[in-house]
Amino acid sequence: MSYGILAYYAVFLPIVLLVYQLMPKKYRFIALLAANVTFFCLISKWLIVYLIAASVLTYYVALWIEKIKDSNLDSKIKTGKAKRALALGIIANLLVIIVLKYTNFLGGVVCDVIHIFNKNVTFSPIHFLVPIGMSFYTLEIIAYLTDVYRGTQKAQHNFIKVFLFLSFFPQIMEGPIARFSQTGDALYEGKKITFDNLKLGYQRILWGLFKKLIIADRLNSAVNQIFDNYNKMPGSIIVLGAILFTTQLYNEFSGAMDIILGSGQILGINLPENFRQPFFAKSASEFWRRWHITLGTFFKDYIFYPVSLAKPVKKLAKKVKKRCGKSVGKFVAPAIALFCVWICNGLWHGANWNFIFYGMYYFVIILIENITEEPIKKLTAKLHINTKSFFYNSFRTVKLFIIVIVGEMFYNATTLKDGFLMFKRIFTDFQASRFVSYIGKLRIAKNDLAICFIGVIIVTIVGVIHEKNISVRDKVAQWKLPVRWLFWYGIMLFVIIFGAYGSGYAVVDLIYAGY
Amino acid sequence: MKKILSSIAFIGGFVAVLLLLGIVFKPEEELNRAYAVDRKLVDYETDYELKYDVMFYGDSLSYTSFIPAYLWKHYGITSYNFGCANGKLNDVYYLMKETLLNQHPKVVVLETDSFFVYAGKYMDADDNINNVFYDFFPVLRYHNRWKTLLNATKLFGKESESAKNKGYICKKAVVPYEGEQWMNKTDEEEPFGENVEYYFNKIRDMVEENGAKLVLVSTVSPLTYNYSKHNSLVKLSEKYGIDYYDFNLDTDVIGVDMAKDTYDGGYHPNYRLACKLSRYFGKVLSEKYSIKSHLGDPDYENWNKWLKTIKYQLK
Repeated sequence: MSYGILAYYAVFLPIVLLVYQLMPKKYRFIALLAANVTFFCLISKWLIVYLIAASVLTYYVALWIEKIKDSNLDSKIKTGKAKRALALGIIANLLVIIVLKYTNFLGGVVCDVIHIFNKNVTFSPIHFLVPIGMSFYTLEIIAYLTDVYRGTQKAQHNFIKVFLFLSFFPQIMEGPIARFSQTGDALYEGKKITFDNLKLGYQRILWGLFKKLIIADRLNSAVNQIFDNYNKMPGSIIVLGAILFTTQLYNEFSGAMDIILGSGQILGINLPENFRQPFFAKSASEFWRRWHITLGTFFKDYIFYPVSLAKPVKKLAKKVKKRCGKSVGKFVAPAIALFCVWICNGLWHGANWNFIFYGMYYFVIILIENITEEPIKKLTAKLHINTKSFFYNSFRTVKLFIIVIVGEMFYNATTLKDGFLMFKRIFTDFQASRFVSYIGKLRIAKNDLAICFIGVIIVTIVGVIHEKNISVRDKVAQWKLPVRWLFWYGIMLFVIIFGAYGSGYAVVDLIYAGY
Repeated sequence: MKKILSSIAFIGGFVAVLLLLGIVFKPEEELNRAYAVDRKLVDYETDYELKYDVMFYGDSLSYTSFIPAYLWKHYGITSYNFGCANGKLNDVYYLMKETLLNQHPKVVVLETDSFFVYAGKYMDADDNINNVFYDFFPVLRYHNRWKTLLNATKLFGKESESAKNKGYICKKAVVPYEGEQWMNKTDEEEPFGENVEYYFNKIRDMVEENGAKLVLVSTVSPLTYNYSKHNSLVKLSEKYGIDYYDFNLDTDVIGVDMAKDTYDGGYHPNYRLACKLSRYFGKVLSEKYSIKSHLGDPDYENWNKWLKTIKYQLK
């Protein structure tokens, strides 16, 4: 089961919606619960025990924290006890994910360290079965428990609500990472499916399918070919590979989000947006406020702020400020917090050095952006450069695009060493003259490339419209009925006829479902 | 009520459009690789006036193994390679049906890779629900044929590389095969794919009716072939009295060097091996099947003209 297959839209979702709608309001949560369990088990089978165990632990830890906070203990003791309960809940959940996903990586690192001391030690990798969505629901658990500790979220006294929240089938595979306050109550409420939500939801799902089947899946073979054989490719093709991968990743991930949010919308659940035209950003920090938004806000709320406001960090910042002045001291706390955010971001994506490098890459770039922000403002003012001009903004857009595609090249490389070798080849072996002839050797036919290009143009145009805060769906809804129908028929037929599925195309797994 | 009726009309209209498109997109016969078959037929359209002594069929192993230009240059044999990417035996049958309409070759060569996989309309191996929808709405199964409609040859008169080489696709890269001996003797027999015998019998009958000789060939492919497949094919060929050549057992005679003769690590022959195979099999065709050389025959001057357009050397 996956969002890319017909069985999801044409069988699973309609059955769920029908059963849900037919049930009396107070029992609709049962339909949703059954759907969540069925969906999870179709993918990860008995590994649902991890999700159930995590939900049970989270439920009781939250109640425990609430009990401590409601007790008559001294406030300092209360805070300490609640903190320890919170730490237990978080560490217990993190331990499970660390064992399942990071044991082999950590084992390898320990071995490498021991080798430095000339000791002969080997580590045999252990093959763990990891349940779907573990990285996503673990973050939701951390957010929920922390919000209960902070007092911004009440602990749920209904276990079903907690389990519904963590297991909601559209978002279990790829997020978004929601807060309990956003969806927890709505999931249990059993709101009726309205005609408008059904229509708008399916329209959004269609848009997600357009991005995935017209663009993302079509590029998969060519991207794999370039990344697997980069040592035989000219640097110009490696650049193309990085651009194609970035295009594939964006369309696949944001397309999946459209499908997920559309599915939620049908049920009246407003899942948080995860993308907001990221390529319209002018800086790396802005990019990460528009790309995988819920991951960014999670790190902001649960790592960046707590770290930057932590006493030891504030103390250090004060010391540096005294020694080196305000202009340096003001960056200490944010830099330390930023470092923690980006190391976690890298590790969250996977147990691999290139993900850690990916995190550090953005840490350095964003830190430089923060440090140079004021000097650049002064410089542009001094040189009378119009920072709102088309040329200046284009320069910033192109600069950001280069930053992003280089980052994604390292992200998708098999190993960090491969990433560096690919980067090196761009400069040492660019061979622009061989670019055109090499395109013909890529595993993507010219007519497929043309369709992909048309798809990218359409997505870009829609992005421009959305950037102006205009909803395409709302605009189309205002058109006359025959034109409206023609429009939607046109999009559906475009996806059906030109989609990269079936004979001649390989099934492409969702990239982020692997995290 | 109005919204419900409007929705029913919308969905009903769309279903009707899908069914209509199914009529447009569905080929005459149920195919597995419909677009690949279409492409071959479109390529052939530029050539169909020519007469062939030999016609090759099969999948990608066919179109990477036999070079029509080589057979013409060294043996004066006219041929076309109808190997079709990932083609199943039902695709081969349909291609043969279309291309033998106005051809009477002396020999029809069928590469045997597709004998060991399912033959029939495209079915999603992992998703039965998809298959149900594909049966109801053929446009879902055959949507990829949009490429036929927008084919450059048809629209712009631009010939594909395959058409220029009469079906052969030249791959010059070298990615060595690093495995061991792949033809270790055994008494086991690998079963044929689903529906293979049904389509094979149809092919047999069609070739016989055409007056040609059907020959089965297993080209050199360490990652495809093994001795158990060989045993199955020997049994089949003996049952129907059909000549069968397994090049995997003639590698010494052919001069195969799998460190240099494959472009994908041992699945397909590269150009080097294709020359060796064409040389070897060309001798068999001219000697055993008495295919006379047309070299020097003024009626075949267009073949000499075509040979001059070939970009690769034919040693």
